[in-house]
Amino acid sequence: MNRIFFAENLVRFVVFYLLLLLPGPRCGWAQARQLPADSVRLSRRVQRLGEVRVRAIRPEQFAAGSRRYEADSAGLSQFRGGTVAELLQARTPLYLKSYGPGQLASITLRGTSAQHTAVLWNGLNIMLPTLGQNDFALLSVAANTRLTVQPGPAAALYGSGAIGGAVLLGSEPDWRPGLRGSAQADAGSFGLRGSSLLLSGANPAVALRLSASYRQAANNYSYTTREFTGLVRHTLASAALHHQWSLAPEVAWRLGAAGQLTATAWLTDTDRDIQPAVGSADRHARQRDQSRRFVLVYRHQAARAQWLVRGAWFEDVLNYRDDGLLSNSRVRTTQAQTEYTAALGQRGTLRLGAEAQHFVAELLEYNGRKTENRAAAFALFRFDASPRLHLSANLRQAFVLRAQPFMPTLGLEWNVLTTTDSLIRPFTHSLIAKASAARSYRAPSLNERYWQPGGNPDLRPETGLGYEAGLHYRRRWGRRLDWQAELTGYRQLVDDWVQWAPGPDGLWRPRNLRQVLTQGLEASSGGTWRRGRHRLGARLAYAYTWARTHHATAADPVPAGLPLPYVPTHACNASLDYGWRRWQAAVNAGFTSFRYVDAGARDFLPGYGLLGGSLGYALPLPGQLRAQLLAQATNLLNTAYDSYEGRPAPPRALQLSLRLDWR
Amino acid sequence: MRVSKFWAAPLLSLLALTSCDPDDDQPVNPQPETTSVFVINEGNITRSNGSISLYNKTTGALTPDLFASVNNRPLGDVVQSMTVSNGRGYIVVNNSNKIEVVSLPGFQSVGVVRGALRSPRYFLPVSATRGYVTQWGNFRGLRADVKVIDLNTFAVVDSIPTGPLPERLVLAGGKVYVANSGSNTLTVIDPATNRVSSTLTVGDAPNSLATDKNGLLWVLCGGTVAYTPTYDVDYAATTAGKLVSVNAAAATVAGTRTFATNRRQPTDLQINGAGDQLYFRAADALTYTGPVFRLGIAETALPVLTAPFIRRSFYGLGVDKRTGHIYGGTGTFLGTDKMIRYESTGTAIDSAAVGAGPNGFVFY
Repeated sequence: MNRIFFAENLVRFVVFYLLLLLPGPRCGWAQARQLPADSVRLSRRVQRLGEVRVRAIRPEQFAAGSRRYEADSAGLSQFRGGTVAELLQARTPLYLKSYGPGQLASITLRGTSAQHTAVLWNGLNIMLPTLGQNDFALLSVAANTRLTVQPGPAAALYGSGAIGGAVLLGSEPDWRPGLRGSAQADAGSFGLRGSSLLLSGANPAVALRLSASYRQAANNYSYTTREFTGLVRHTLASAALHHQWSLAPEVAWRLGAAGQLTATAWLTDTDRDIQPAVGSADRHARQRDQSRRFVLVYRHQAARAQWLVRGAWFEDVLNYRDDGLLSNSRVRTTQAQTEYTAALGQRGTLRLGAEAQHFVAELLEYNGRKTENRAAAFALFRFDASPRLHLSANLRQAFVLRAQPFMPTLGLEWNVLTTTDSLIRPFTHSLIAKASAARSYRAPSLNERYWQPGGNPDLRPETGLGYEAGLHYRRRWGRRLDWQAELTGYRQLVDDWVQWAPGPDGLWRPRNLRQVLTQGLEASSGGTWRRGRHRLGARLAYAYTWARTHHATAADPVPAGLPLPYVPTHACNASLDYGWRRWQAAVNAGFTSFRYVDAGARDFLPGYGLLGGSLGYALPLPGQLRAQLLAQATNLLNTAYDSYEGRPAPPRALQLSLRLDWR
Repeated sequence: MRVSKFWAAPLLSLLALTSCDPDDDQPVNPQPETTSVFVINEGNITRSNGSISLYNKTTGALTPDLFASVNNRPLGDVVQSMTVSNGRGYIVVNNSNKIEVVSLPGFQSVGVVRGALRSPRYFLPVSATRGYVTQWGNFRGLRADVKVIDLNTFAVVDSIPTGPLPERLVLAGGKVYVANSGSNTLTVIDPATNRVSSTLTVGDAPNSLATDKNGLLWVLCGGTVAYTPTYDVDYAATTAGKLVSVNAAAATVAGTRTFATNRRQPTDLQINGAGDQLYFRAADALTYTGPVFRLGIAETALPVLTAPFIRRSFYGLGVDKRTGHIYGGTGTFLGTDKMIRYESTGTAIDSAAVGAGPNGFVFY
């Protein structure tokens, strides 16, 4: 165990935050874990199956012992016109390196790289198969009704790529009867214009939902550089978001008392400049990203079992061009999934399933057309040993090119201390101890295998072995004050880490070069307070991350022991929300420590702190209409910083939104 | 007020975190003449992280980013070359479209040539007041040429058309010879008039030049590399490299020898202090790195490109005319690279960590 990990001052720092009795928030990120919910829900399982409504047991149910953040509806609503990248940056201490507003944004979860976070949409992996990662600036919030981040290895549940963690997106049909709609218009600094529309309607047999959003931004903000003549102010050029739209229709049919068929599509189209680095010649780079995703799900809910079949077809286009280069790519992915979930006795739940993926990629750089198949079978088991002890054990056997990674996961949640909520005695406090261990893997991306020159078809999948343990404490004082805190420590060793580097012949190619060790602490605390018409929420989250090459193979040009680039050691995020009558105000602050920018661990970007806020007012209108005016400000202190090397982040910016809700 | 105390501690903690940044200050060594080596670290294209490392031959001390340390600002994107003349260093920063001018030995910035530069490559002073820089132009129709720079005002005052992709240039026999690497020619310029006096046909893709002790100009031609539509090297259509000697005063080709293979592209011609030993690299067409070869000016047979003088593949090569030491720069571009020093016999001496992509060395 590394001593730095438990450095005394760090522990003191964390303990300090844990001791903060912050009156707290129901704001953006409530802990997913509502104490009695899980046990209650499962113990009521038999009764619930009798309901007409068909409800799925989510895969998170099988992730006992894992930490989780869930965006609540208020958070999703506030960022409706924006992207998942913006939401995560504002509401979590997660670090996303970003070229700028609407520009390339990739995530690092628990010290891993962008390819080590699996992004699932309605249960299906939507990473770009060529790059093996997602640009979070292409994922619009509007198309989704839920957003969950589960840090930590979870490949048994979510498949390839879930080494650093998984981001789960999805939509669910709204079965409330009748029609409802909502339209929003946004305008902001630096040419930001946007609008979004949500329509939904349902009768007992069919539910419809349509979400659409549009956005453009000139991003012509100013930044300062030091030049021969002194400090020179420039206006950012070639950084425009020309257009970004997203369209997500969904139809759900009830078939009989137990069946539901859902057809969902998600179409996105983004056209943007890729801004040159400060000091580099402008090559007028421009990128067009288009994704077309269609998924058909049939779910059947029998008395003590449910089964589900998913079929999906995705098409991802990424066309890049600049003054000297043209690169077009098109990948089509066909996926099928099936799973069967049954109760085992009164306490167990077992899910068995299988999935298959077929990729067809067309790129000039691949020497034409390349196809690849992947498959996996999984068994997920949850056992509620007692109302206070929950266990899960999951297995996944994957079949990818040249490898058959096998991933077991074990998890445990134990209510060490609890007062049950009853009529006689209200809930006051609980303490939950959690632990889990998991193996994870990532199949090499298509670029890593087939890109010419350099692509390496012999790459082995990366595999990880990670552990985490944590405590979650929650306390309630009457009906007014509710407070919780969570502390998690983790450690993961990722083996066969793939890195593009020059080989013995000097040619850059990806190889399994090293073993990487990541470890860290995640602490969060938050609470809510209500009195009369006052609502106050606060939340503080801190992440300490340590990620280094643990062992370098002889072929690795980078020596072991160096920190990984773009992994901040400290990241902190705090928010305060206050509501009174029709007013709503929020303040959020974040801090990110310095990040090295390359493997040599010499050049770095300095740490930065950001402050933001918003003010909203809800106005009832005649009929069933309601208007809401929201003003949001980012980077209030006008901090000059780079999230990504050479790409100045925006200064203070303001955004105004007007929303009309009908019913 | 209680609330302010409540927040003071976390805010102070944040400030403490901000001060966690690594120490930015790097020592700047004194630079007496004859002991300094300026290592040209090209940097990663589009990242604006090119730099000059200062290596002290006597003490072995190294300043990683000399320009930034002295001038408190980054040098720019793709540092292509550096030329020393009249107590000044001219640093051509290719993808920043500029030439940074520093005074030596202190390396203080004294000016910037920006003008209409587009993808500048190599600089050559032709008089006390005039300098030439080759430039490739751009993909938007701006043609390759040599820009004439006023060394007092740092303004671009004239243009001289060249062949495509002009690379290194030398002053020999009273004329400026420009290697047009996108063709098989040298453009010959009269520096008195700034006009082209003739065009000389040599081998395919001439890239570098050196003048020997007899005044003979040596021109190394890499050979034209042909690519398949899928970006592989098409060796059926790739031509072999050549070593051409030119009578500089008369501007006539004196001799041409062709390498036995087209699998490697000879490049980066250097000459020792005595002016009788040529050194070059034989680069791979995809990685631009290659091992080092040596050839005496009187030798009749070209080296066999599979039997190098120094086996290690380098991205940059330099020969110290004072000591005869050979300097190689690795080309991993992974943040830091290495420079390795060799005796003139080819025996390795030592190495040092420098910036990304050291492509050349200037011995001051």
